[in-house]
Amino acid sequence: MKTELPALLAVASLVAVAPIQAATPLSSGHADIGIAYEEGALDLHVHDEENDTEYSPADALLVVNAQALQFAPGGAYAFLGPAGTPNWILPSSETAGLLFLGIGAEELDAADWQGNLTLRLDSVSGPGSFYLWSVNPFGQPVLHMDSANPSGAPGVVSVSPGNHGHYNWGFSAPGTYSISFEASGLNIADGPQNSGPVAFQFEVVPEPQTWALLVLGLAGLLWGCRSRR
Amino acid sequence: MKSTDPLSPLLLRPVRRPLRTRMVGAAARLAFLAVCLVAGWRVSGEPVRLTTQHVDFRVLYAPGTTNELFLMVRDGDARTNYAATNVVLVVRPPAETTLPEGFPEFGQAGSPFWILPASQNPELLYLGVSGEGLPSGVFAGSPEVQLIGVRAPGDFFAWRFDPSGSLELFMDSRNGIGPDDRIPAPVGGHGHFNWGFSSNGWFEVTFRVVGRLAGATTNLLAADTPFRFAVEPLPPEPAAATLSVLEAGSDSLACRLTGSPGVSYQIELSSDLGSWRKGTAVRGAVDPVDFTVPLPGPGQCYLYVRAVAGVD
Repeated sequence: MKTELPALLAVASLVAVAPIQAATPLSSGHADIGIAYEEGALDLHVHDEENDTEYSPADALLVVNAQALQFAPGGAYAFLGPAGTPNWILPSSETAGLLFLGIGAEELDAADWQGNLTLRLDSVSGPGSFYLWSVNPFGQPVLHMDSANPSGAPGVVSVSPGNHGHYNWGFSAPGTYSISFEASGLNIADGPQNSGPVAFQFEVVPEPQTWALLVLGLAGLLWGCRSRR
Repeated sequence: MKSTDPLSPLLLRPVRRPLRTRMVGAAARLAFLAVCLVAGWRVSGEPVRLTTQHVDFRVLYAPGTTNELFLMVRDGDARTNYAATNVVLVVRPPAETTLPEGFPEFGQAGSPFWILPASQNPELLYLGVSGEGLPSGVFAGSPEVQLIGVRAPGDFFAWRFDPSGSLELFMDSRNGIGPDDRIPAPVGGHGHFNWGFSSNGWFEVTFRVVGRLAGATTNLLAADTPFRFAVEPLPPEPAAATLSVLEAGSDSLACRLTGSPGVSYQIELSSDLGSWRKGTAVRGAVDPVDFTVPLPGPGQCYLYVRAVAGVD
């Protein structure tokens, strides 16, 4: 039993740090968190715009590549932490090598809905904080969601039926996040609709150096196993 | 700079542009019409006003046609493409703001400024540039939408802030128009920009798409495509003028102008309705203004009058 424990630990570590294998990773190109209306209910999903494929939230892993790392500038961006704080950010303008993630309701027809729908941040479970913001025409950030300071932001974005919009997505630490959103709106024929909280999976990939340390540590554990046998 | 509103109504003739431009414009319109009919896109006689929709300047590639590259307006909500001549891009009054300090490129702080923002405002047009209709593997890099000209009572801008927060000006007519004034249309992608106007009124903004096929040594050029923005509130148009001939002499005409007070009118003459030359300039007044127009010579003579400046 004693000789098997290090091996078990090594396997557990691998499982803990390895990306979720069952879900399809989307790490670049254009994808949207989409709101649809099917069989009288709001349906949230991930739409891979590059391949025109739809995934249920559990089947997609939204990946924030290591090159998303930026250091907070401070000032108007104080919500990202003091100047120099590392954050991993998917920008609202299309950037080579990073996921270009939007929020949309393109499958909805504006004629069926009273005004816009609302997407609300319900909860964040992960190693760090989550931020969602736009930049106004004069370069000032407009913070929509902030899990570190929920009262500092409205916590919702407005989604126009038939449209989509792009935002900046920020994460304060690498690792796996489960972020729940809730969509609601007034369907003219069927009345008020609410999706309930729906969890989306995000993976923020740390720097290569961190991966190297992890691999070395695991290799050391496994070597330790062998020596004892 | 002449403040003629190119779209103001005229009594005796519709808006006149130089003959060569009209012919090129007509040919371009015929080409667009042909493409639209073939592709089954909606073509309308009345220009469509786009006000709050998600709209893109969409670059399209049609190999084998004259220019091969086209620029159209796509209404993303209605999923319809329009030729430039069939739309008016409306900048609604909520777009008006005041220029803050720190943006000397746009003008003087405190000046009125109209903006269609890069992040969606449900009360305004959400305008982008799209290469989503372009096939992959065909182009070297991305085609670009180049700014060729602006005819407007103010300056025209397109900009974004890059992820580090720095201002990236893609188009700026205030500092002159040149090769720097361009927006990339990524193949298979689209982007949104802040669009700025330093004045209300009609803006005619002409774009030209430039692209290079992979392996080619020369560029493809789309026809110069003018787009109209109506930046609201539109200034009132001068009332139509009335020109009448009281008496025709052998070498002059006694004329009477009824126009708007303070507005300057230019009389132009032609013997063949083809080439025109400037004649007398007359200022409108409350009462009709009588004046003499010398005739250029014997034979028929056509006259028309147009407003050349706004009210003082």
